[in-house]
Amino acid sequence: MPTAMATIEHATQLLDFSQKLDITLLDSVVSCFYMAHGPQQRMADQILTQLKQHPDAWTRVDTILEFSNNQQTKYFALQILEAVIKTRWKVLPTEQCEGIKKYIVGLIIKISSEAEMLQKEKTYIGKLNMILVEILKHEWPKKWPTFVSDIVGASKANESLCQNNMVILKLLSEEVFDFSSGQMTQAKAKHLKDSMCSEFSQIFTLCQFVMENSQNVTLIGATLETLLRFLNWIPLGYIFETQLTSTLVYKFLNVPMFRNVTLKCLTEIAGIGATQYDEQFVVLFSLTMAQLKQMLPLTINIKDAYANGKDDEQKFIQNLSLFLCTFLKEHGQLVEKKEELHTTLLEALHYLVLISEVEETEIFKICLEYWNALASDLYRENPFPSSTPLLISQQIPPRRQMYLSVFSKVRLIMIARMAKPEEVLVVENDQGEVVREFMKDTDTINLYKNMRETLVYLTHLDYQDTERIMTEKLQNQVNGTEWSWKNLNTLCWAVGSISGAMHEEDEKRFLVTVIKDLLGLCEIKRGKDNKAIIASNIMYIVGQYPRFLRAHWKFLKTVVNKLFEFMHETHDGVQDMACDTFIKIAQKCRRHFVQVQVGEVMPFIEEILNNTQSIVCDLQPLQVHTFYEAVGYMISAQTDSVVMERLIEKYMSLPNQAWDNIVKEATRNIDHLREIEVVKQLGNILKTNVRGCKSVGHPFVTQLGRIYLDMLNVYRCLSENISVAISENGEIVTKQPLIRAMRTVKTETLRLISTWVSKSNDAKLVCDNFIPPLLDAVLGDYQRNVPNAREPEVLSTMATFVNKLEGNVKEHIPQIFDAVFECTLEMINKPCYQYLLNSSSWCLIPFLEQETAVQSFYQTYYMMIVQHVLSVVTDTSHTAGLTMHATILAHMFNLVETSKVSEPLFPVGSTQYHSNQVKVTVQGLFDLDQDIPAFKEHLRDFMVQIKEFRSEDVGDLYLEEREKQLQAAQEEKRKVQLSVPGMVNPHDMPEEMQD
Amino acid sequence: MSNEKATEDQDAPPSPEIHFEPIVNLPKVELKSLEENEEALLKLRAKLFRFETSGDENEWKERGVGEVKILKHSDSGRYRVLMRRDKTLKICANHYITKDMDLQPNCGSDRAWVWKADDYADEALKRETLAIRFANAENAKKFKEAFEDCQSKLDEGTDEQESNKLAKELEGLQVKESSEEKSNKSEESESVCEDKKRAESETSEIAPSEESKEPSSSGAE
Repeated sequence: MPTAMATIEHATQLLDFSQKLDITLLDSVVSCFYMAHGPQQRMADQILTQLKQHPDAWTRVDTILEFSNNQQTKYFALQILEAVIKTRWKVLPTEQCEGIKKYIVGLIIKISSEAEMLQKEKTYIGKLNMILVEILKHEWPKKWPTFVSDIVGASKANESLCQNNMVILKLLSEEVFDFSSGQMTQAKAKHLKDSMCSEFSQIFTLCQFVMENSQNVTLIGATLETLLRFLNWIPLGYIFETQLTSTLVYKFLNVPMFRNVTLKCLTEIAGIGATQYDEQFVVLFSLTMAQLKQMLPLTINIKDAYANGKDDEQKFIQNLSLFLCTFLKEHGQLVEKKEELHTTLLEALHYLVLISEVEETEIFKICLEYWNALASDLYRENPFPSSTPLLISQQIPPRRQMYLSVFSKVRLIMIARMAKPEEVLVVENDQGEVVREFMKDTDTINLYKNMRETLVYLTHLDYQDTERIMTEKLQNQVNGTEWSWKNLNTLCWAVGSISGAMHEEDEKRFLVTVIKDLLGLCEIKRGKDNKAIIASNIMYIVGQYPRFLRAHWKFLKTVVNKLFEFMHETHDGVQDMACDTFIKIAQKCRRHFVQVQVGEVMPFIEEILNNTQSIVCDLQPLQVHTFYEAVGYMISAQTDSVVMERLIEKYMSLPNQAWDNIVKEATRNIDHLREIEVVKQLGNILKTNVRGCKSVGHPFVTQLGRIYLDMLNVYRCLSENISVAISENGEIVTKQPLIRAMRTVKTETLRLISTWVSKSNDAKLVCDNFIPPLLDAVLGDYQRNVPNAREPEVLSTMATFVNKLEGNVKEHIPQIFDAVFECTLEMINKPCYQYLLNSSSWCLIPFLEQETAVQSFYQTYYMMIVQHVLSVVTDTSHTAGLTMHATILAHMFNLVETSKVSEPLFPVGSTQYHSNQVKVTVQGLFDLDQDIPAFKEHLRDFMVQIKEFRSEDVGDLYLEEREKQLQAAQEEKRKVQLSVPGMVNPHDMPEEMQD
Repeated sequence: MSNEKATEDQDAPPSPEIHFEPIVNLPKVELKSLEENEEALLKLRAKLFRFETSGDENEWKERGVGEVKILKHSDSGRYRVLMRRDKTLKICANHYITKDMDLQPNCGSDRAWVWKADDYADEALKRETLAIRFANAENAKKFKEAFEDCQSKLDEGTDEQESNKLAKELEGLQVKESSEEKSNKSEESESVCEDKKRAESETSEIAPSEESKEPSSSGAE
C-alpha cells in the first residue's frame, strides 16, 4: 500500500495546528488505523493518540463532523469532544462551551428530526446523545436553566424528534439517579436530583400526552422505556394520583409489543413501599391480574411454553415472575387482608408455582427468593414445634391455612429439583499432584443453600406433607416410574437437606423407611453402576443424619464397617465416596468411637487401629490421608491423655515403620534420598502426619517429637540437593519430577510443623524444644539456598510462630530477621519475585509488632519496605491486601513519629503525584498511624485521587469493606438460623451443639 | 349413687305426663378426652408442683391436685403421663415418658419424685421441672415402678429393634452383583467364586445348612 505509506509520512502535519485541517488525510489515517496491519497501523495509532491528546484537538471537531465521509473518523472526533467535556470543560472559555453546546444540540435536532435518518444513524446519534448528557452534567440546571422546557417544547415539533428526546431524558435519568455514586460528588448528585424532580411535571405531561395520543409504535416504545427509568425516583403522586397505572394496565399490558416494558414498569411500581397508597396497590394488583388471566390462562403449562417460546415470550415469563414476586413480597399481606381478593391471590400464587417449574435456573431463583421469604415469614410468625408431640389437635393459624395447598406444591418443586449440595473439583496442586477440592462458594452450592433453607421452613410448616412427598417420590424410584440417576440423586439430596427439621422420633421413623426402601431398590437394580449410585446415595443420606447415628450404635458401627468394605471396591467413585462419608461421620460422632459401647468389649477405635492396614490397602494415597484425618478426629475425642498417647502410637505405627526404614537406609547410604520412589514415599508419610496432626491437635506432639530431628535432617539434605541441582542445571530443573517431589517433602515438613504449632497449647514447650533445632535447620538453609530454591512456605511458617507464640519467641527474632528478610527483600527487588511481597509482608506484621528489631535493620530496610509496600499499594492488582499493607505502613510511620528510628531516613514521596496531594497524604499518614481503619480510609482516598488521575474504576477499593459487611450480615443470619431446628446443615454446626 | 337417686325420686312425686320444653336447647356434645386409643396402666391421686424459674426467686408452685395416669397408646406403643385436676378436669401434666427421664427423690421425702420433662400441659411444649407427691410412700413406689417399667419397655421396644434390623439390612448392601446373577456372567466369574467362598465360609460357621442364605436376604424378612 504505497499510498498508505505516503499518507503516514504526511500524517504528521495533522498535528500542526497552524495549518488547515486536511480531512482526506485524516480519513485515510483513521482507515489505516482500522484496516492496516504492522508498522503502518502502529504509526496511525501513534498519530491519532497524539492528536487526541493535543490540547486544541477539540477545535477541529466541528470541521471533522461536517466534512468527513468516514463514520469512524466522526466517532474519533466525538471521542475527542467527550474527553474535553469530561476533563477540561471547566477551563474552557464560556463562549467556546456555548459554541460546542449549540453545535451538538443542532446536530442532534438535525438528525433526529427525520425518522429515516434517525434509524440509519442510530449509533452516531447515540454517541451524540451521550455527549449532550455529559454537557448537561456540567451546565444543567445552573447555566442552562431552560433545558427541560427546551426539550419538552422541541418534542412537540415532530414524533421522531420526540422519540430521540425521550432517549436523552432516559440517559439523563440514568446518569443522575442510577450511576451517580462514585462518579460525581454526593452534593452535586443531590442538586441534580432535586432539579429533576422539581421540573418533572413538564416531562410527565409529555409522557402522558404521548401515551394517550400517539399512534407511533417506536415513539411509544421509547416513552415507556424512559418512563421505566423514571419510576424509581419520581414523586409518588405522579404514579398513584394520576391515570398512569390504569393506562399501563389497560392500554399497553396486553399489546405484545409493549407487554415486557409495561410489566417492568409495573414491577418498578410494585416495589414501592408506601402505606398511604395501599388502596391503589390493591387496585393495581386486581387490575393487572384480571388482564394477565386473559393473556395467560391459568391452565397453561408455563414450563413447556417457556421451553418452546421465543426470546420475547421467555422474557415475558421472567418479567411476570419478577412482577408477582416483587408485588407479593411488598404487598402480599395487604392482599391477604382483603377477603374478596383471596381467589386472585391464589391465582397469582398459582402462576408462580407454574413459573417455578420452568427449567431456567435464573427464573427459578427469582421464585425461590419469594418462596423462601414467605415460608420463613409464616414460620416465624408462629414457630411452634414442627411435630406436635401429643395428639391434641393444633389449630392451624389462618394465614397458614391460606397457603396450605400452595405450599404443598412448592414442597414438591423443591424436592423434585433440589440442587447439588457439594461440588468436588479435581485439580492439580503446586506439586503437580491431582487432588480433590471441595468447592465452597459456587452458584450451585448457593442455590442448594437457599433451596434447603426454604424446604426446612416448609417442613416446619407441615412436616407430614414433606414426608409424604418424599416417600411417594421414593416409591416412584422403586416402582420405576421416575427412576433415573439424576432423579434419585436429586431426591436423596432433598432427603439429606432436612436433617434436624423434624422431631427426633419422626425423623427416625422417616429415615428408617427411606433407607429400607433404598436398600430394597439397590437389591432389585442390576448392574454395578446402578448399585454404586444407590449405595452412594444411601451413604450420603446416612452421613447427613449424625443425630440418628449417635443414637443407634449398632447401626453406626454397621455403616462404618460397610464403608470399610467399600474402601476395597474399585468401582469408579466408590472409594472416594467411602472416604468422604467416613470423615464426615468421624467428625460428627467422634466420641462414640472412643467409648466402650453397649454390647462391645472395647472401644471401636481399637478395632479400627488393629485393622488399619487391611482397611486402607486398596486406597490411593490421597484417600489414605483422608482416612488418617478421620481417625485422628476420633482419637481427639479421647480425654485420658495416657490412653490417647497409646492410641496415637498405634495410629501412626504404619507410617512410622516406613519412615524408620527409609531413615535407616539413608543413614547407611545418603544417596537413598535421591531415589524418586523413596522421596515420594517420604512426601506421602509427611502428608499423613500433617492430616493426623490437623485432626488430633496438640497431643500429636508425641508423634512429632518421635520423627522431629530425623525430619529436619531429611529437610536439610533434600534442600541441599535441590540447591545443587539448580545451581548446576539452572532453573529448568525445578520442573523435574524428582526435584518436585523433594520440594514436596520440604513444604510438607514445614506444613506439619506450622500445623502443630498453630494447634499447640504450650508455648514454652514449643519454644524450648521445637524452635531451636528448626531454626538451625531451616533458616541457615534458606539463607544459603539459591533464590529459586527458597520455599515461600518458610515465611508463612515463621509468621505462624510469631503470631502464635508472641512474646515467647522474642529471643529468636533477630536470628529470623537476619536469615529470612535480608535475602527475601533482596529478592523482592527483582520484579519476578514481586509475588513474594504479599507473603513476606504478612510475616512482617507480627515481627514489627514485637519491636525487638534493631536500628541497623531500620537503616538498611526501612526505606526499602516502605517503598515496596507503597508500590504494591498503588498497584491495582493488590487491592485485596489493603488492610495488611495499611497496617504495615501505619506501623512504619509510627516508628518514625515516636522516634524509635533514630538514624536519618530519606523522606517519602514520589514525583509522580502532585506535590500538594503528597503533602496532605503524608501528613495524614502520620496523623492517623494509630488508627488502622482511619489510616486505611486515608490511604484509600489517596488511591482514589491517583485513580481519578488515571480515571479508573474505584469500586474495587471498597471490596474489602463490602466483604466485611457481607460477612457480618452472614453471621447475623447464621445466628437466626441456629435458632431454627434443622436450618443449619449438621456438618456446618459448631461442635458443642452436637453429641 | 343409685341410693341417692332413689331417695330423690321419693321426695318428688312422679309426674311422667308433663313435659317441659327447655328454655335453652342444649344438644348433647360429643366430647372426646383424646385418651380413646390409650390404655391406662396406672391411676393414682397426687399433687403436682412445677419449679418456677421466671420470677425473682425460683420456687415450687402448686400445679394441681387430681388423678395422675400413665397411658399406653395402642398403636404407637408410646407411654405418656397425664394428670387432670379434680372437678375441672383441666390438664396439668402431659408428656411422653422417655428413656432419659430420671425420677429423683425430693428432699429425702419417700412419697415424692422430681423429674424433668418436655411438658405439653399448656398446649405448648415447655421444658419443666416437675414434682409429684402422693398420699403415701407405697403409692409413690407404685408410680416409680410403673414409670420405670415403661422406660425399660421403651428400651427393648421398637426403637432399638428397628435400628438394629435396619443395621442388619444394611449389612447386605452390595455394589457387586449378588452371586446368583453373577454366575451368568463369565467375565467376572473369578471374583464371584471368591465372593461366594467368603460368603459360604462366613455363613457356614453359623448355619451350615443354609448356604444359599446371604445376609441380605435374611434382612428382607
